[in-house]
Amino acid sequence: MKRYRSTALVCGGTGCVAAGSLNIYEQIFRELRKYRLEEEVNLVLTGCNGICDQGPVLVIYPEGTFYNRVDPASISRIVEEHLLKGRIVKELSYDRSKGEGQPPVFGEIDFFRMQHKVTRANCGVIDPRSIDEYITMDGYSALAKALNEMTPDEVIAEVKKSGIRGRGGAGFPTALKWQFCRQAAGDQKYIMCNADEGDPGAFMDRSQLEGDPHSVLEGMAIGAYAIGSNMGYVYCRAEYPLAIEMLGTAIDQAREYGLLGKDILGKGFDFDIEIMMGAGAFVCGEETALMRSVEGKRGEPRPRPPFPAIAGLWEKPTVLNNVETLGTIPVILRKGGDWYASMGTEKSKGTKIFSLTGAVNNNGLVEVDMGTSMGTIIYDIGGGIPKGKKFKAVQCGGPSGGCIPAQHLNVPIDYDAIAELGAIMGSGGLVVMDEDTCMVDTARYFLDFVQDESCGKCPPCRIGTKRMLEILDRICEGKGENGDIEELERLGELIKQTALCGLGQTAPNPVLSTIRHFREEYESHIVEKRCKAAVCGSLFRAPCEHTCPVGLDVSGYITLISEGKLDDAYELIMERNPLPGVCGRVCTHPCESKCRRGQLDESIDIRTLKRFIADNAIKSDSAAKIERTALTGEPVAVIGSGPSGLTAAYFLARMGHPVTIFEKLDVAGGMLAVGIPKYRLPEDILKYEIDTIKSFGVEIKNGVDVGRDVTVDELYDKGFKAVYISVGTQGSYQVKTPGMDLSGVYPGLDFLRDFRVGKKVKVGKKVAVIGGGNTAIDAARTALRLGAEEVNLIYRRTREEMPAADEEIEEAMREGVRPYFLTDPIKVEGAKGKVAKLVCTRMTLGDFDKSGRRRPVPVAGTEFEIEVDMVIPAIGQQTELDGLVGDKIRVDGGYIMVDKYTMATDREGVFSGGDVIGQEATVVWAMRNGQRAAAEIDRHLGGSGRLPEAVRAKFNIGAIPRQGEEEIVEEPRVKQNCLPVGDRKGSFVETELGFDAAMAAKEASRCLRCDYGKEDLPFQKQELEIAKGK
Amino acid sequence: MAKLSIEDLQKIKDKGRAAAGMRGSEHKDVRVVVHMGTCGIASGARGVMNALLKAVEDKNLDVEISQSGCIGICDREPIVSVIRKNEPMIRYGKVTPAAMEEIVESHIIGGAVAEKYLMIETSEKK
Amino acid sequence: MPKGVVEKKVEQSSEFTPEQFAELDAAIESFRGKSGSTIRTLSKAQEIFGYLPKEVQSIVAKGLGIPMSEIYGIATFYSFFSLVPKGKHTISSCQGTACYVRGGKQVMDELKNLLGIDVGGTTADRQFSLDSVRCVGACALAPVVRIDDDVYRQMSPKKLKPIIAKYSDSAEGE
Repeated sequence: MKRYRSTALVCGGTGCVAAGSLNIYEQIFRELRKYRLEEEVNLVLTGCNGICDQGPVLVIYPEGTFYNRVDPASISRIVEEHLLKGRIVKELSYDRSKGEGQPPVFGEIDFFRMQHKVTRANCGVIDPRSIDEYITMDGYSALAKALNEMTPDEVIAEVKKSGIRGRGGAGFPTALKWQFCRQAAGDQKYIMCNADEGDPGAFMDRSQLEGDPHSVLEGMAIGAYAIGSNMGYVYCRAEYPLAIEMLGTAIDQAREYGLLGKDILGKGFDFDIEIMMGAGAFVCGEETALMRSVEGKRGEPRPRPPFPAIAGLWEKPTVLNNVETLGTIPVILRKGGDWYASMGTEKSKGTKIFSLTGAVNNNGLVEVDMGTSMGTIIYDIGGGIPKGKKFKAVQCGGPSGGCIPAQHLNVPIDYDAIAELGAIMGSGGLVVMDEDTCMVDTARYFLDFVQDESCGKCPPCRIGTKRMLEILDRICEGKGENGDIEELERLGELIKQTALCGLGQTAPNPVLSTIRHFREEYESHIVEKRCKAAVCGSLFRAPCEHTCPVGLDVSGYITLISEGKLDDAYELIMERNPLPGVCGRVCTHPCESKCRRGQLDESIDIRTLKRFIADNAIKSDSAAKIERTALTGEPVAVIGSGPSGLTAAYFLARMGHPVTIFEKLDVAGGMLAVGIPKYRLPEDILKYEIDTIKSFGVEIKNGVDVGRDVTVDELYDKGFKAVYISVGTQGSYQVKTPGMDLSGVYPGLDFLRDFRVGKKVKVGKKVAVIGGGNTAIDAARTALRLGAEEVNLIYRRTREEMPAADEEIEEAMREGVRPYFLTDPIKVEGAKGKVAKLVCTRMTLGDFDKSGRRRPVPVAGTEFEIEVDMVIPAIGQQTELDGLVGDKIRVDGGYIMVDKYTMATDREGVFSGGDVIGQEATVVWAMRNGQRAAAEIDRHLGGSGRLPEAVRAKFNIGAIPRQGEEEIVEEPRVKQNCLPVGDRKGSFVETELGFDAAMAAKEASRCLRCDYGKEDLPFQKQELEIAKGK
Repeated sequence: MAKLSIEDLQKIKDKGRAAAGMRGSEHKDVRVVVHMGTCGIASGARGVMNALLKAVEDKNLDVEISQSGCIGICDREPIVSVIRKNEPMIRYGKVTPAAMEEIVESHIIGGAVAEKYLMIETSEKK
Repeated sequence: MPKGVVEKKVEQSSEFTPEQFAELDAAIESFRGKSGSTIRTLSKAQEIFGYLPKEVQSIVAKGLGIPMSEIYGIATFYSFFSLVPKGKHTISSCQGTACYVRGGKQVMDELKNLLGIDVGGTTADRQFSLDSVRCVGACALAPVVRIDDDVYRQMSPKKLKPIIAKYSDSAEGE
């Protein structure tokens, strides 16, 4: 193997490549050869380091120097100065004071940088089997100090000054506990260490005992001296064999050195420690139960008082402290109580260790100052949520604690602040949960745990938690009833007030806190029989189908693709979704995020498979083969021909109602026609699908502006029996930045719409698009295609927070759109009334906002200018409801208010959905609203309210087993072809090319067929029952 | 050993500090620490330690080998820290016995960081 | 919580050797009279016999001079003790919070499926026992499965079969 003097890492992530890092790589390579350094310097192209807006990025080892935004000129200097002469080029290297975010240093990652190791200072540093190494790190000097210089009262006073509170859970001040015990009458006293760590999800005590056992022994000896004890016990769970081994070795060594035993350090103090092994009972973490267990009995708690400080182990005064608390005592005595108290918040001092696990990138142990925000722990130290999933909540404090949802990420680590949110600090177990976690199921899990661990001594805990568990079981099985939530709350409060010990009193916490923060999820399980996270398996056939807003039988049509029955597959899709060609291209595919195949390798490319079926249908006109319903029902008016209106109209027609859609523009399709560029959604696809919808009995009247040309009242006069309003959001959100009135500013939505309807649209040479949503990306890519030489995308947060679809962002960057992340426009400056430059400021991410995202804040002194001749603001849309709704329909914040299950507005017979109700602004959710509304309108008009559901049975899909080998091997998804980047400029030809038959068959064969053998769960039917019950 | 006095404690500390190179410099040029907490062992740290011991013995290297507890980032285990005199400590994550051999070759013998195994920001491979 | 174990008719002591009983007697002797030694004696007994049949409980009760009811109460209180025979290898699937949210339940289901037994059961050939453990403190490696003293990290239903195969008798001695 070659030996190199230096290593140069060039970032090869998408962002850096777009910024020219490949050229940089080649240039370094050439320069290295020039200086004959290629044998000495190892040049490596690395993966993305996540700070794309600093790109191209170059890092040189062994110095770990980080050069950002390098260009050909700087490369020449860096190679000559740094790599040849060994001098770091300071002015080109990253300067933290510029406030451009943190530079990455490979091998020493943020996870460590943001921690403050006080209690854990020795863990992972010293050899835990060597007492000498512990002594070298100042070990046992605190004990020496206590015995040599301090009275027991002075020790307690110092601990009191530090303000340390018990780290085991309840947070009782340690000094106070010691003082009570010291003052208690009795010649024999005990100090005990609680190493039972029963809270599943917490393992800091294990790590402390394994990594630094002497710190705990020293802490116990100091405590023993303070309270006047000569015997200590460590109660450690049997599940921790290595901890017990390390502890045993440490005790032997300490005895050998005379640091345990008689006359310690020649100061006349006797103290010894024995290890007691726990035998597996959660309740033994409770102090009175633990003491019973050490006495060799059943570990059942007893009522307090008397407190153990008065009558504990064998009825003698006893102090029980947790491992972390005891492990911190030596450093407090060494550095002083004041020093310790200088860290943390007013009532929670010092540092706290957390075990961070679950859906978070960096799993492990984290020690931070009290007062650090929960968001900092999860995002900065924990590295955020893996796989781009959304953070949902963090369970704090284990089965006795509660959950903290996204809107409270700013909560500081503080006993009282956390308690206010209905959780507890507990021992510090943090289990991070993402969108794939069901909160009802989580609550059930914890309750099941406590139920199982309840010792049975008191009825509230033994029977009460059982009753609660029964209710939760029912809810998770889809048998929840109205009133269940209230009953859970009532029982929970009762148990809290009447249970005997801490275990019982806190047992209802997980249930109560999930109800408090996620009541909607409980309601959704009970009312809709829907589990948003697709966890509660009794509620659905397959997670994709359950997650699809329109309830598409995904595994069904994938099975039919495998069988080569494409017409049948189309018919199956059309039973739920009249726009498969549209959705096959632009759907945000929530189904794929829950695909079980994704847990193995990659989710099925459901969207492209659907597109394959839809494209085939156009070729062979599959739509003509579907049976039409006779239009014998009542006429219905639909306002707006976007995806929501089209879907509602289609289902109403299939249920026999003649429908008229009123559309303001001359083209039908709403945003599908004028918002989404043609290179993503070709016109002929949309046209075929709209024509198909019409052929079922839907008439579209273009050029009618309801509200101006005709009112809703007049529609009723004309004989319509019900109205569905789905007019979307047609106005661009106004940007308040100065200079937005200059010529050359073109709002994104107007820009896209004007271009699509054929207006003359003039594009500048240098364009700046402001925003991070799909409209911004569409506008940027359209501008490039229309001949802009340079398109800059200005977004105030980072790429991770961008609301636009990931694949769209990726493609935009490949096409040459230049992203400016963490950048916000301050003003547009003009010359002669025309846009000339955009003045921006760098941003940095600050606190967390209500959505759980970090709020961007400007960095002072980082203003810079981008030369532009066109600015496209695209930061959001708003409704335009003038004259449309009247005063009978409630509007809030510009959005129409509807019942979330029935889509009914306050006006009888008028329903609404899509973007205009201001909820989920995606095509497929707009369609779901339309589908729900159609069913409810049908019921309103005297029908059954039941969508057709016969195709799956007709083709007997449930009987077709999964194809292929029994053993499933890892295999990534089939990649569809894309138009080469070079062919895209000036062209609006579709970029994605879809699957051919072979690719589709291969991709379909990856499906795991979660639906197989689950025929009796038609979720649509269940959903209907609910609506009826309301 | 006989019982320690407070003065003995100080002596052990001084001697240890000198040996660990914190003040003096008697310590070996290269120190390798394998982190062997429960998480490390569960992830295969024993195999890594064996590979390290064997490589050092086979190549007759003058390297200080030590073990320690968990440094906290358990999902990157097994973790190995390499400390070369006068250089910053380098941490490797998800080390396999084969990777350990490469690290010995490249970093311990050759002085070049084995960047392939460096602990990086995200545990997921892109 | 009592585990609701159905009292199984204990087989004749032919199941055990005289050496085992001698070892138990010695253990009882060393613990007798020491306060709080019941649990430790029972641990030792379980180590010797693999589980705690009634016969053994009764010897411990007599030996320590403690009522049989109290011994039984302790043996059923702690999940560490087993009143039924264990397999040669104990497979424990962690059902702690971190393991649960990362798919520990699916791993457990697959184990039940592969071994054909429920939690607490032992395979007919007495090769494997299946246990559920609350947390082994390796949460960062979730979901974990422990077989005897080996901990396996980041398990999935798919990874189980080959691992279990390593422990079955036919694979040993290779």
